[in-house]
Amino acid sequence: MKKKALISLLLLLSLLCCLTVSVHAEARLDYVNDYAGLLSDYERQSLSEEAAQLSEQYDCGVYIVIVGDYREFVNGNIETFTEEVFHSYGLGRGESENGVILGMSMDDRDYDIYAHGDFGNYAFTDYGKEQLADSFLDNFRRNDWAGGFRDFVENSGELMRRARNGEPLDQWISDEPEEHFGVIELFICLIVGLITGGATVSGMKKQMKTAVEQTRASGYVPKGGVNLRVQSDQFVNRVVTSHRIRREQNRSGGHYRGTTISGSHGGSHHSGKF
Amino acid sequence: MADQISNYQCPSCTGPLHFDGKSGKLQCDYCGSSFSVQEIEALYREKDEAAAQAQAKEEQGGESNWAQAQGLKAYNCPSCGAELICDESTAATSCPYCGNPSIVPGQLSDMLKPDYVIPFKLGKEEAKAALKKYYQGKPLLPKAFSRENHIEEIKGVYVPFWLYDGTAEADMSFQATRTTSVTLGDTVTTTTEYYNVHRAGTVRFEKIPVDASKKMPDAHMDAIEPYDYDELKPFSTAYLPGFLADKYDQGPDACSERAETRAQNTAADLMAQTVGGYTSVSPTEKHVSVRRGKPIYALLPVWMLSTRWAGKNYLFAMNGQTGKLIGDLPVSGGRALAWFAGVSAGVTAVLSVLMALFMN
Repeated sequence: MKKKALISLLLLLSLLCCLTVSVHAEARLDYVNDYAGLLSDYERQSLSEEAAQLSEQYDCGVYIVIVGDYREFVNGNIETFTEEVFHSYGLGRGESENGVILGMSMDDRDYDIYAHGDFGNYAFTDYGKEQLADSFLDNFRRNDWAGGFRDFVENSGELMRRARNGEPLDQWISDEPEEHFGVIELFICLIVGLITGGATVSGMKKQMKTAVEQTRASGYVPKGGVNLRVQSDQFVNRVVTSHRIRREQNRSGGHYRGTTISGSHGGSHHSGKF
Repeated sequence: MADQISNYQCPSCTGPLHFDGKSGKLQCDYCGSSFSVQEIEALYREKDEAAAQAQAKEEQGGESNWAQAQGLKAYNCPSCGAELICDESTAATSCPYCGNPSIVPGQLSDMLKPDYVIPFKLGKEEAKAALKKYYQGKPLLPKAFSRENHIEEIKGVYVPFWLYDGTAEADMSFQATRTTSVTLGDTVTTTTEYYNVHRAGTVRFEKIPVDASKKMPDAHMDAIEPYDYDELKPFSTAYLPGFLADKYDQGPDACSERAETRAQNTAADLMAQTVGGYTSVSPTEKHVSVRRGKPIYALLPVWMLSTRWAGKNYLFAMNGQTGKLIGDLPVSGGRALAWFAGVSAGVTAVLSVLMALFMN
């Protein structure tokens, strides 16, 4: 009897476990989740729709999660929180769970951008994430929340568009040794110095010669003394020329900065204060 | 020949009178009495007319003496009887012996009578102070110049000027371009539009001054412009005592070219200024002609100051109405070199530091 009861309890626990896992796996966050009450319903809805549309278009999720204090959810820092949210709720799209999430904690004004997946990390390079953050931080500093989140969503779309075209936003780092101040630079400074010196002395010399004959008489034109009788501007022809500018891809002797993957989940962060 | 000259004397004490720019009245050097220009004009009208007639009579008589042969004229001072030798054009001077201001009304009467005069507003002391101030803030002026040089001569002169009115007719054509560039991806498209621009019109000028005295350097007279013509007064010899004055020795036709050139240049500038909104504008045709009106003959006040330093004369002119002072100054070669070296070195050093910080 005791044995039957134990088996029944184990079965029940197993069932409960399965139910929990299933519930957790099916739990889905919206694209924009505001638990700090920064956005109106309309703003949140509109942002969410735009994020959903971009996520669909590039098969790479764009998410925003705003909380009062991230410490209520995780032990660690804002990066831990964003990473946990991304993975716990099964965010991301496609096989490699491509996505980017902006996590914000209002108490200490912390933010973190976390990119994940092959395409996610390709599109959101370290430089790209820096630029993305710069695009919304000025809004947040003015407490323009809706404007900042819109910048995040729209610029995420732009980064994904560039990546889809094979041109992710990245920073060129030259492998050539850095240029140092040398003889040529000194020569340039000297030439500029000599020209400035010459111009200064020439101006001073001009001050010494003030007895000069006048060649104009503009001071003797009375008010209304100019009468323009003919004023015609006749178009003759138009010449259009085009030329191509050298693309950065042709560069040699350097490399793009790329993305530094950190953490155990294969994602990359850019975090700070707003 | 004493009757050709008028000495304006104080009706109270017969002392010499001079025109005072500050009060606008004639003042007696001795008793301090002052009289308005109208009062003195009324008192001396008959005497001035008689002096002018006496001069006309002498000129008609055709008598000549050694002075006339030299292009000079000899008069006798009515106060002390001394002989005054003046230029042919002198109209107001002072006796070098007794110091009395002497006017030659015949030089400024009838056809030679100026239409207007701007009386002196500023005196000798103001002219000296202006020169002292002029030396300041000139880093290239040799220190010894301001220390050692002193004014050799300072004289207030009513300089004869022609004031020209006129209208310039300008007809000009230009070729203009407007360029815009648009970058799409890695392609830059430049569009250049060409235009034929035509402008024609008139520009009116009023009272462009040209000095009518050969003695006065044109550059100095031009550079002290402008005068405030609101203060032009109908001419009277009563403004002259205490100053020098010359009648014109260059007629209106001889001087008109300078005024016309200035008018033509200005009209062309004003037409060109109406062509705007283009990337580049270059004139292709220019026709400017000037129709000039009857010139006005006026005497304008000028303080002439001359100094001598290192064996060279320096001439300065000050507008006797506005106080604008001009004149060429010597340049210290050493100071010019020091400034050149200092500025060049300073700029080179600052640029080098900035560039080094930026590059490293």
